[in-house]
Amino acid sequence: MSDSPHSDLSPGCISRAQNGDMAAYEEIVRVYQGRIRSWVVSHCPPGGDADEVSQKTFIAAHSRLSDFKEGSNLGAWLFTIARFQLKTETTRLRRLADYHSRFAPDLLDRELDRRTELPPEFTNTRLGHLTSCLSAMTESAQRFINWRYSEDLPLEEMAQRTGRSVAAVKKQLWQIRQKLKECVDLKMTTAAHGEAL
Amino acid sequence: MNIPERFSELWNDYLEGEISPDALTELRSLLASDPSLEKLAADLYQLHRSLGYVASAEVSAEAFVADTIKRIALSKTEFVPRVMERINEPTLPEMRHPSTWSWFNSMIRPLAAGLVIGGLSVSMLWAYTAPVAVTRVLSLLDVGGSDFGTKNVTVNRGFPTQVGVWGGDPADFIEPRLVNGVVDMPALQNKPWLRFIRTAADQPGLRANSCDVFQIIDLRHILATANGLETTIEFSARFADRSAAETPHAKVGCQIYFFRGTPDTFTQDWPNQVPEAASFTANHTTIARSTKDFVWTPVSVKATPPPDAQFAVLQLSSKLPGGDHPFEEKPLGNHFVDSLSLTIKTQPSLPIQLAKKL
Repeated sequence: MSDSPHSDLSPGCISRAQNGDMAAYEEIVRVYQGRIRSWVVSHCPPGGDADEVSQKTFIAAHSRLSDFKEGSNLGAWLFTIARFQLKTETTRLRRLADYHSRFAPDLLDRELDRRTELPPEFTNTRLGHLTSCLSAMTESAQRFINWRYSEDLPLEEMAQRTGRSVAAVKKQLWQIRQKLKECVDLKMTTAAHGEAL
Repeated sequence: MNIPERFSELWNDYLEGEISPDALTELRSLLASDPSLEKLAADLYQLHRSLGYVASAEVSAEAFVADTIKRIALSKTEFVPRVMERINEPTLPEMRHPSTWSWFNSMIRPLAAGLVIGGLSVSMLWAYTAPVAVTRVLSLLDVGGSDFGTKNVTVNRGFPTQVGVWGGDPADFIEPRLVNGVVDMPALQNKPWLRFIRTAADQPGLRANSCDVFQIIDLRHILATANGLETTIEFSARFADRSAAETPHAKVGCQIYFFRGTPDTFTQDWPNQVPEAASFTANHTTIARSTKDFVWTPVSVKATPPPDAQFAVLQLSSKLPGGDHPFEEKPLGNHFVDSLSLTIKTQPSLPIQLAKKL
């Protein structure tokens, strides 16, 4: 992330936002929303509303903008607020009566908590690799991903469209996700080796 | 890493929301037996969530920015800062040292106000909670359609164009039905219920994960007859969710916005008028679901209208988690509201001496 000296923002954007210029703050939201949202979405516990957490991050940041010190890292400051908002969302979810029985968050709690402490750039890099791995997949695999994640089709409909059983569709989705994971892991390892060299 | 076949099946079912309680127990013990599976599970969960994000990120980025900026504008009108402003205002001298006349005045003025309001109000239910306080309860379920009783009345689509009429996202008023001689939906006092049908965006490009209905209330008569006494308005309703167990939990709520100006000049540009609100208060809660019974959850908001407020906008909402597709309309259909009421309470400001005793 290259936010110090905030190369993605127009000159003076932060101080204009601090002086109440909403257009300047809108620019900040536009520039940072992708990084904040993608980080929140991958760390948000099951059942959590990632975009709600991200919006609350920008709303809270706006109300505390006068606390931000010129010259410091705006991205890091926003991620600190995002971490706090994510903890608030996690607490809210845990207080729901049937949250544990419905979402079984305990399966992921420990590992997701640990990962919130990793540098946010890690998530951003993985997302970049994921996009690249997705575009390299077969047309058939891309179609399944599109049905599942863009069109939100039920498994039954995917089964009907492909003339397969629901169990076969589930297995297909599992294999695609597994391949994507391997592809992303490989790219991460290669990049790490490249940096080491 | 060699992934156990059974773990693949169970974790896939978990991600697809199709895991049974027994399978969940099995999954827990599998994860507990092998720490590397816990890491793999988190990797696949994050990948799954990221795929959802990638699928909608480009489409939703501008809408996210617009929605966030609107919410910031809205948060500026929140009630707390305004209450803080009022607390910081200097206390009026006559309140600090009430004279015999001010005590007498505080008794007589509400009684006089009560007589005036009582003479003018025919359709309102009155209750006197104390000799000096007046409480009125307005039913907000007068749907106004002569067709009601023979079929459901659809709530007008879009923000209301006139005072006293509900309008908003897809919703309707339903009547109690007899199914095999049994009342299928036993409405309270035979009143119709409001039913949220589908979520929708307030404007194109905004998130569509809630169903909101609105009514404009003209406050001019109410506040004029209050004769300068302290007036509080309470908007309350009961919510029930009869959706199936696998559907997401809804967050429901009531909101009141107070506006200056007149309702006649209120432009039909919701939610862009929100920043113009003189004050705003809201209460939202997540409600339990039950497909067997109606489990009603009461929700209410109470607020003191600013002295120069001329009208209010009431809002009822049922909101689903945004999830991976917050910009898509989603069916609701099993979210109900009843016992809608607006309670207007007029009373003299409490003498400061009484507050000190407490």
